Amino acid sequence: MSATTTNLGAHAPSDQGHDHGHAHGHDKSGTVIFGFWIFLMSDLIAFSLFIATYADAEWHGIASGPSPHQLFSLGLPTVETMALLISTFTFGICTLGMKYNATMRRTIGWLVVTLIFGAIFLGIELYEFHEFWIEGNTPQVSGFLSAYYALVGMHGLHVTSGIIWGLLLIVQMKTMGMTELVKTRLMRLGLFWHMLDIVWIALFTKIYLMGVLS
Amino acid sequence: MSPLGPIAAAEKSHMIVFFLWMLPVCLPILIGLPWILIKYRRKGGTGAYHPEWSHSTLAEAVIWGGSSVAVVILGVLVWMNTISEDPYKHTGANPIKVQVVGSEWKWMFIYPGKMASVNKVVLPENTPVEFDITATGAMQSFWIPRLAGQIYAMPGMQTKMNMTTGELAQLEGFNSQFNGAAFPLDKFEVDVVTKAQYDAFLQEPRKPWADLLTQFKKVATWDGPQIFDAPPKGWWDKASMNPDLANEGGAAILPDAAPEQKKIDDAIRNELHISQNQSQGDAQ
Amino acid sequence: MSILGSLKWDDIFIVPFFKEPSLSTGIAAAAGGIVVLGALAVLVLLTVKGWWKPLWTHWITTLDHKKIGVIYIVLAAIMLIRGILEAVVMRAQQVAPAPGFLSVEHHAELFSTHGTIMIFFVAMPLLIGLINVVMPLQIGARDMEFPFMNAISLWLSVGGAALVMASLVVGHFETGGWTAYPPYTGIKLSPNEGVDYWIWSLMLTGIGTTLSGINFAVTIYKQRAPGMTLMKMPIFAWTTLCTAILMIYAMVPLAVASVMLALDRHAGFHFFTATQGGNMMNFANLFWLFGHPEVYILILPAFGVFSHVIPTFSGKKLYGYTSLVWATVAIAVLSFTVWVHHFFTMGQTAHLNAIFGIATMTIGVPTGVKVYNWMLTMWRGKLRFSTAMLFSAGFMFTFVIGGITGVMLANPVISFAAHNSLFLVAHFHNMLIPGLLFGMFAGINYWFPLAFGFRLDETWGRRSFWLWMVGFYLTFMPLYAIGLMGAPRRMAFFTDPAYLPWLLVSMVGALAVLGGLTSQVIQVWVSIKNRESLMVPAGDPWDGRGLEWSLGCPVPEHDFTTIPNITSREPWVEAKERGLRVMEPTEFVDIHLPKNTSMGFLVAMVATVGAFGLIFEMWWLGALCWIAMFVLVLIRSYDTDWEKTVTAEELRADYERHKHVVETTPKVSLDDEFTTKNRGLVFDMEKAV
Ligand code: HEA
Ligand code: HEA
Ligand code: CUA
Ligand SMILES: [Cu+2]
Repeated sequence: MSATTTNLGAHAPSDQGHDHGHAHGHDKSGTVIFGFWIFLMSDLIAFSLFIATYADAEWHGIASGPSPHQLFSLGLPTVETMALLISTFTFGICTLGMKYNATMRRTIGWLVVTLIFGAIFLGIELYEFHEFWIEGNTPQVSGFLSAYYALVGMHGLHVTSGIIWGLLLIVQMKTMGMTELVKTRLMRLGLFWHMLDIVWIALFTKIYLMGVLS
Repeated sequence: MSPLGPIAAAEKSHMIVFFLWMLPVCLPILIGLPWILIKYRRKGGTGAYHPEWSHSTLAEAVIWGGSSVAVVILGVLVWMNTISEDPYKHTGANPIKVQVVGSEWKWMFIYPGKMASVNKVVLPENTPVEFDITATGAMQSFWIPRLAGQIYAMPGMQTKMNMTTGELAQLEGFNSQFNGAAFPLDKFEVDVVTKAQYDAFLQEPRKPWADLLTQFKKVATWDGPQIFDAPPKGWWDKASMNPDLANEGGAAILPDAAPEQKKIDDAIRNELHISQNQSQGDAQ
Repeated sequence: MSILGSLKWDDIFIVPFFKEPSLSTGIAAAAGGIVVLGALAVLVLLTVKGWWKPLWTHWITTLDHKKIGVIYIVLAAIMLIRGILEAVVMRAQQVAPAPGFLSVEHHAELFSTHGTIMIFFVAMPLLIGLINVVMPLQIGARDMEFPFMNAISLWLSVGGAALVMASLVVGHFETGGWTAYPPYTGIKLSPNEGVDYWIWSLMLTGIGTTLSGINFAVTIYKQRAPGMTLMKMPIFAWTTLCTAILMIYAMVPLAVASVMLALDRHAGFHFFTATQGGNMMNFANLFWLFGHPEVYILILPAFGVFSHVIPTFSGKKLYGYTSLVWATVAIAVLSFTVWVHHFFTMGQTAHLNAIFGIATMTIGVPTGVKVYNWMLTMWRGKLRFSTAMLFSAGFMFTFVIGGITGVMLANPVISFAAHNSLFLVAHFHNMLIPGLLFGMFAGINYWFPLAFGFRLDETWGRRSFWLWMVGFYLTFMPLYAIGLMGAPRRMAFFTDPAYLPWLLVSMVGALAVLGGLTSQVIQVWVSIKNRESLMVPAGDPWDGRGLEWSLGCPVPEHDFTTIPNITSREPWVEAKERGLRVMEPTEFVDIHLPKNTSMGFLVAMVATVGAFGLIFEMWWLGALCWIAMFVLVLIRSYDTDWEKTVTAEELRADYERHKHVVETTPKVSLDDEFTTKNRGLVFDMEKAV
């Protein structure tokens, strides 16, 4: 048994130096970001399951459709990847700047640049889908193509929602000002965006690089 | 369980051995718990009260150690059993090969190069058999409980089930994976006969293969077992990759009033020897 | 495509009966009728009694974790009525002379909805509800970390449940079991909307559950009272943490599998179509990658409950705290490594099967450790047989039997002979009923006063226990027997006369269970009627040991007047040993609580309507609701006025009031624990200082 007396009921000394018990705990924005991290983890699981499905379909799911080798080339996907990489970099500048009290204009500026590159990425992706589509390589052709469209499409949907989210944040920065709340939202979008980038690297390697080399 | 073949017998004995090995770690609870409940009850119990007692290194070691040892023993058993009873392993030299196609709601058996039958498989006694299994439509599970355990039958895939038949018997095999409106009828006869009878069976008069195929594609359930010529060589392999060869595919879920549903209701009544006039509701 | 998508006249519950009257369609029409009449009756009652407003302001818009928890449990109770009625109809169908009174498909719809409802809309809401009510009180938190998200989770689950109920009235539910394997559930073999009901109701509740998991994990991680290190945390909080982690990771494969199934069905994709390069085995893998952890999501909170009920009613410290913690963690980790045991018969190599078989049995070790630890907690104690304690003891005994059959199934060779049989059905009911359900019953009986301020009636509680216990054995032991004789599961009727005696016993058992359930309804009714005499305003009606019992009953909305400082595992026991009867705060400060909001409810209801649209291929409705949800979230994001303040003065007044109650309540001896003398603050007089 513990020898120390139980200080039951005595008020808790707070590590923050001020002493009150909010329902929301102390470091709210840190907590929100922590929760968002956990959410991203489960999102990552979803991506890995789709990747695993794709890996299986790539082997056994060609049916009467094209193989990855016949379908993919590296040109456009490389440009696409560069666009996303740049956008991640510019987002980094955006959030770092915000941390060091950059002006709202600067923050918004970098965010806009990020979103433009995101849109370029998305545009290329849609263009490629379109190309495949008019060649008759639709998701209905084979298990492999189903898995391909679902995986890349899911990533694309994520990027789309990231872009919409970014646009709304710009509006919120304008209307609500650079409040703590808006800043946390931007930080979360940053996490989200970086995760999408990492996922894309995996997709690029698995689908295009290894597909073309196979 | 009343096993007829060596595989089913092995399954049964594993079950018993396995169960017995668990008793040393489980019986202490089944016996100890009632004893504690009686001995330490507050009103009238005789056990001494030690409210602070909450740890004993010895007990921890026995509990963690004991169950771990039990799992190691069971693990060794599992490893050995699983490998010795692997359904993919031949149970003897030169097994009889039978190719199987499970469909909604009937079974096709092919003795390659010899003959084909629907809803009936005839096997010689005490002989190793290898079933090559595929399906059309839904996933099914091929099971003759008194000979051996089950294995899934899946469209677009091939699985195998090896077993050795036992004495003469008339058995039943069935699909154990629910697959729709006539699931209770999704079964077949298994006749284990003498070698001579088996040879005679293979010589029996039969109908052409084309008849089987057209019929098989068309009907949902099959009236009584029938025999046919064997399909062309390699047909089963092709069908296992392209289930449409054996099945045009209809719905397994039928609206209550669909004509197929009526036929299935009739088939069920037939199976149960219930007069055709009675409606289902009256059957009870 | 019409504006109503694939909706037809025949989908309305009563139409098939008029077109084709039979007992089977009649039962379907009656079931739909009950739902409709029930819903109407509730509406009328609410209007007549004028309860709309209180319902809205106190319940629907609430963000209080205790009330959210209660709503979850009420949801479970409503869904369970359907689940149990279906179970009884199924048992009756199998004893009626073949082919029984239900069509094969109607029977299939019953076991599919029964399984789906019991797992997702009875078991899950029960445990999530209990966690909501109790966990924050145990760790000294004021609420969940994200109260708004908590409300969204709740109403998404309600929405999912509403869809399953709607399937009785409009259209059909799925018929391929709760596991819904394709290709059976593909568009070709299951062309009606049943599978889509399955997909979208699970999608809604699945998202809700994932969010709950995140909420619980973050709350435990960030909101523990100062001084409460992880190894000082109550076991129920530990099991919640592990369950939460399982929820976060395990619901995803289910969502992925059902999205793929939906794409296959409605967009012509080929994830699971064998002829076009799909792989149906991938569905089985994904489903059980969720499904197996799911069964431990179900059981771990129950393990947590037993770890509190048993010490309390043994008057003794929990034996082997550290062991229990590690055993919990081990079970959670191992649960992700065993999923293949659900399809040993799918034709993979013997070595792979053996490895997964052994991995499965390994879970027996930590589970066994737990059972032995509870037994050693009782050993050298002074046992009091409250309803909660009876359920715990009944659980320990029966659960071991289910564990034995589980380990048997983990041997692939045995699984070949028992898979898809009633032996398996007996195994899992053997885990779910005495494990999960008894755990939840014990928890509800034990913690009930925290939420409502009065105890539940013990007499009817004990009656219900005995009926449940006897009923369980009678219902499911025969199924082990005929399972071994080769009776497959999901069979509409049996023709083998050897089964009949066993099936009859089983039917009688199901009626006994129904009696147990009825006793519980009576128990709740009687307790509400006699609530005045069952009140325990001073709190701590069982000589409890955890922090939650230091509060008055019912617990006020702000939970703690001040958050205590924790220095040991059983702070309340030690406080009582030092003669304290109430926490003594040193200073009061203003606190913030989340304000009520209707947004959580609205978002989830819009999602539900949208899901209904998708089920009947009204794509416009799905899209519209998607946009509406988006707009609602946007509106909420502009709302920065989330909190209301409880002032220091109010807290002080509340504290003074509670202190007064406690000081004027006479101490109660353990002898009077179950009598009306118990107004709270029960003490062991033989031990008391
Ligand atoms: C938690 C899960 C759970 C529970 C409690 C039960 C309870 C019961 N079940 Fe079921 N069952 C399943 C989960 C469950 N079942 C699943 C997953 C399947 C498989 C479906 C499939 O094939 O896909 C199945 C299938 C199944 C079958 C089909 C078997 C077959 O395939 O042939 C049958 C047949 O009779 C059956 C019977 C029963 C009976 C008689 C009970 C009775 O013992 C008990 C009836 C239940 C109650 C009386 C409810 C208990 C009370 C509460 C939960 C909460 C109370 C709350 C408050 C008071 C606040 N069950
Ligand atoms: C709460 C739910 C729950 C729980 C806790 C468990 C626990 C276990 N289950 Fe069960 N199971 C289900 C619910 C559950 N199961 C469901 C719903 C299904 C079927 C779904 C469907 O198909 O519809 C299923 C199916 C299922 C299968 C698939 C069978 C098949 O389809 O062929 C298997 C096979 O391995 C299995 C094994 C186990 C094991 C080994 C445990 C272990 O965790 C048990 C551990 C407990 C003990 C062993 C007892 C106590 C321990 C001791 C006394 C110590 C000493 C003992 C040893 C060391 C061995 N279960
Ligand atoms: Cu400190 Cu809020
Ligand atoms: Cu499992």
